[in-house]
Amino acid sequence: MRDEALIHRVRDRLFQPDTGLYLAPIRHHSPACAWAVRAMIRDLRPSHVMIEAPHDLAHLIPHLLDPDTVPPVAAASLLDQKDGPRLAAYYPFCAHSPEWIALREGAAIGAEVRFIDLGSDAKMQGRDDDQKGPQSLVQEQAFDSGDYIRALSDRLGCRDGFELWDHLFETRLGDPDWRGFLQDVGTYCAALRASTPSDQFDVTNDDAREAHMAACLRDVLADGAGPVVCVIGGFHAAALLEPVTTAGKTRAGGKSDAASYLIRYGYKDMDALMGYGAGLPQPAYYQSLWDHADARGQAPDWQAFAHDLTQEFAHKMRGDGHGISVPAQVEMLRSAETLARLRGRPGALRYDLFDGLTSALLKGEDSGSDVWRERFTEYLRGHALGDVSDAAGQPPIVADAMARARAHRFDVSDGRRRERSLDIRRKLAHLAASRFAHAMAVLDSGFATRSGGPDFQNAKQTDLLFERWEYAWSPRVEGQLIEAAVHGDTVPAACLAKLFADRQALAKDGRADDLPALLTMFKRGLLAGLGTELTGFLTEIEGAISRSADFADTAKAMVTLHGIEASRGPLSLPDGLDITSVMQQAFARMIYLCDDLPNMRDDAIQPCLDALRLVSELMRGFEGDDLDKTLFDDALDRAALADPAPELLGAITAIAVDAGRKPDHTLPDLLKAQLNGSAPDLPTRLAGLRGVLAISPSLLWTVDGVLDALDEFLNGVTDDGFLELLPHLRLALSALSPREADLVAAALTRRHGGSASSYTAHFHDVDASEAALGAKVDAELRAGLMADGLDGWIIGGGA
Amino acid sequence: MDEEDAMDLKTDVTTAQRLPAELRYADELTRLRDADNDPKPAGWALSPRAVRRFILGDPKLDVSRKFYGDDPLVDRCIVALMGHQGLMLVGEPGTAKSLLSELLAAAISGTSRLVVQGSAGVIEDHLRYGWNYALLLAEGPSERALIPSPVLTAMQNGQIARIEELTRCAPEVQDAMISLLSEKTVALPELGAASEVRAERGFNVIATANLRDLGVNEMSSALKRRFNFETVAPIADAAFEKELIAKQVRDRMAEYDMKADLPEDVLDVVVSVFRDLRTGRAADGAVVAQPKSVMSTAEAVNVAHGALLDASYLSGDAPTGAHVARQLRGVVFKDDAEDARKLRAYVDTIARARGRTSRAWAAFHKAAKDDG
Repeated sequence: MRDEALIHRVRDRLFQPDTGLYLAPIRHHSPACAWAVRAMIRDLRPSHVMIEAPHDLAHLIPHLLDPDTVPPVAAASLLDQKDGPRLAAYYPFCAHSPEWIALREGAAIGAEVRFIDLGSDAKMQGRDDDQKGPQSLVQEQAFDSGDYIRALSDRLGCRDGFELWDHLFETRLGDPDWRGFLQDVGTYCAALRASTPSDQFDVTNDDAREAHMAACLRDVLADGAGPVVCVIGGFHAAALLEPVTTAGKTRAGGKSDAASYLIRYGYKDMDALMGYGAGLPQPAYYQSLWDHADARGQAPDWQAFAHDLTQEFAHKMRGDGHGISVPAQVEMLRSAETLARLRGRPGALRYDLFDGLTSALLKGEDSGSDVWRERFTEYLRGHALGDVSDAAGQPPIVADAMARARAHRFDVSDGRRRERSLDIRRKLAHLAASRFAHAMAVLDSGFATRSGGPDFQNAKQTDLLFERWEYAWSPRVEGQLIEAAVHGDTVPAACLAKLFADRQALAKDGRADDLPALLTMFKRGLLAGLGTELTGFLTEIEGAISRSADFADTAKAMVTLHGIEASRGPLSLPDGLDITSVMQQAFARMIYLCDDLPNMRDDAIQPCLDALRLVSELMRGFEGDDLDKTLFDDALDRAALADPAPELLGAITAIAVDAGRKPDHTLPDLLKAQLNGSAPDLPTRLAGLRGVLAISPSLLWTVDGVLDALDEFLNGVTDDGFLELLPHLRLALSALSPREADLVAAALTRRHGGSASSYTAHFHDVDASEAALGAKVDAELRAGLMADGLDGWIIGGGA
Repeated sequence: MDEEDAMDLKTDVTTAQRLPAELRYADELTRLRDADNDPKPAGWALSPRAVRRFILGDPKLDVSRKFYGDDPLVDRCIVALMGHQGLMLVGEPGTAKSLLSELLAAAISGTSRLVVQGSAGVIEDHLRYGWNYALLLAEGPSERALIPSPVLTAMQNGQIARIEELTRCAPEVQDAMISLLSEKTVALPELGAASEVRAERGFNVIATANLRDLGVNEMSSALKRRFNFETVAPIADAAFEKELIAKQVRDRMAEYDMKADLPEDVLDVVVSVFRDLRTGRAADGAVVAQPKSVMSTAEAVNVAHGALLDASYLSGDAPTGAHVARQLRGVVFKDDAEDARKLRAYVDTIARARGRTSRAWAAFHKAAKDDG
């Protein structure tokens, strides 16, 4: 059989003393493979160590070898495309990556280290354009899917490719027989390759990549310098057995269309990248396994390792306030250990630990997304963040930000905190500077904070001409920018990617359709000057609107979108960003949701009132034909007939009267009916009035009969009743501005004859005895305060 | 030993409607025992690995697979029973919780018959011991007059006791389980101050429970702590569920003299209807209103079996989608008006659309419409 022959050939020809080629087939981020690679290099002392990594990253090798560089780190590659978005991809290294070990061990024995894969530009271009999220320059999907993996998993009682890999190979961590281990990995991978359908090969340019790698090997073998160790993804070993006879050509070393640099990387990002098919997940787990074995210099003491790990997990959980009882912890360890024995393993592996946790800590029905499993996943994922030596230079984003800051005339010559006032409406250069400051804020760089001027996010004082900023360039800003380098290498590019990342984080939080949050992000993007780049974001907002079930949020989104559309200042839309259709969609959705108004919960009423006011204000002044006002009117009429809460009925009636669609007397009639109704609880009778005032306070005195209705009602209540009403009345009337309150007061006093000032209390007639009593009280009070050491409390002249 | 037990309990192996697992699979158990070289925990009839093979199948020993779906769950169950905690199987009705409990008990203890059927009528005596009152009156309290519960028997013999539907028992009866599981001892004060039964090694408890059904009692956290919980989920893989339904229908039909099989397209209708309504989503992504009725694989087998019987014995023609539709209402949608409305909506939209391209679906649609 052809496949069987291939598998045997791989096994027999991995190590070739005759040609000097020694292949190390590995799985990325596998501690067991890293162990074998280390043993191999120490044993063979090769002249060359060849690593499957994009050749254009070779200029980073010295920085990777720098003692100040601490993993996890990643080589980041960025590629501009002619048509289409900028591509970014990462090649991460952690301390237990076989590639990392090969680099450091190779350098330690004085071998020449080379990267032999196609350039990162070629790898990126070969990728599926639809793929969202971070790209990995390391790919090995074949380890987790396919007929071979399924069949073998079934036979060995493993549930997937990850468990199978751990069962077969990670259990051999610390095995001194690197030949046997790597031969087994090679055999396994050859079988994987033999069972992979041919149509899945080209997805990642496999042929071209293998030809390139083979040519690299051929060139170095031709020099005949000594043993050559080649660390490659196991899948490719079969193609590299006879590089000498390969016809391929190498591309000129180091040339690439992509820009690449070294960045600090985190386990969290690494784990996310695993989702795209690269290496083993949950790096903190494998790191501690590696550290444990490394400290012993031999295979792990599995029992001690599992014991320590559960102990540390329980300890951390207790620290976080999620107590795990000691019996539960013991049961978790016992279950994991016993399961491992049942499954024929030397000790509890990752999945056994998860099973132990499930057995011991889940009480009740498992819905599939249990909080304990999430906590354990998070724990095994870890939070470690690497460090990059200073010599590696700064990622382009730092230089980019610095250059932009200078171009926009921010003084970054030192770390002093400065102020700057920007004339954003009249000077284009100042507007551009403002956009830069906003963009730096989106990146959480800590560079600039707005200390005054228009607040577009909250639509406050948006007519102000000047925006004031406090800013300072500090090492912290650089640190934050380096963190943001995962998002892109220029400020605008990173800013855009950051917004999308925030949006994804929102979705992960279960708030994918949180309209206010999405619109806030959209506005941040506009203020940062991202312009038409935000088209994709707008599409997301459109989707959220079409799914929205919240009247208030949808209505506010509609009004916000309209405000942005009409804005001429920093929020103004660039050509090519069409917001009108989205606004129309929000309008249609709001109309649809109007039918929910009669069924609002109590706590949803206030937001609805706010939203109704905003929409009615918009409709009042609206003169375009983008929105059909009559649809809104009809929807409100329908809602009014369906017996909504009194506040909402008051608001809806106020809107209709205000727009002249209903006769004025409707409003006092409604209020009279509510105020003089039989609701035993007096404050609830004020609900309708609250609704009216929320829409338009001026209706109180511009519509005949409204004030009369209120006055008559108040005249009729008892003193106790009035006291009960007072706080509610004050709350309802707080919608009035001081000037409006004066107007109402004047109108009311006119009704009762007199003027507002005649109700103000003044006392002028004080006789001598009262004055003397007052002076006496004053003196006693002062003496008392002084005796208590509270002199400071006394204001006004001395006695 | 199996035969003796059968005699004791007066089970007639030839005519009983359903035999306990240890009799149904006596041959397999014997083969597993003979080939079992792995270490056994004290009191266990088989090693944990042999128990696993008994449940998940072993082609080499011609042992059939009896529980489908989640293999790691079976591992966890076995390991839980090796420890001090009891095993609590929870999940929707019809997900084979009781079957799994029976298989585990049969393989581990050689008997699955030490069962307490939980219900509102169960009292503490059913978990501890009762008395033969005639003897009690004649002789006073004596070992002869004492009637041990299945749980007490399991303790004496170091076997697995099963408690079905534990949450249907009253809270005070559930409470009796707490001390029983932690002390593993039952005191018999009537027989003397020092008289007690201490559980032999090998004793443990498998309970099944439904946490969501109407009329069940909440479990106390003290009781929960004494159990390891395992959730038995419906089968996730559609193709596999189809295969399983076909197999089970064939097994059932083997009891009749008639040779009949469900055509592939009719089987597809059964599987799709159940999966769509259970998950609330059709295979093409369309949203489906989910009924309250249980749409488990077990119910699907009932429907398929009923449809086949209907076609074979009553209408006398080949089974079609129409037979499925007629069974569906009786077997699944018992008398809930809201569920009937949801089924109607499903028939009107999804089934109707599929009926345009499939004869089985067309027949299903027409019969369901006529019936509704």
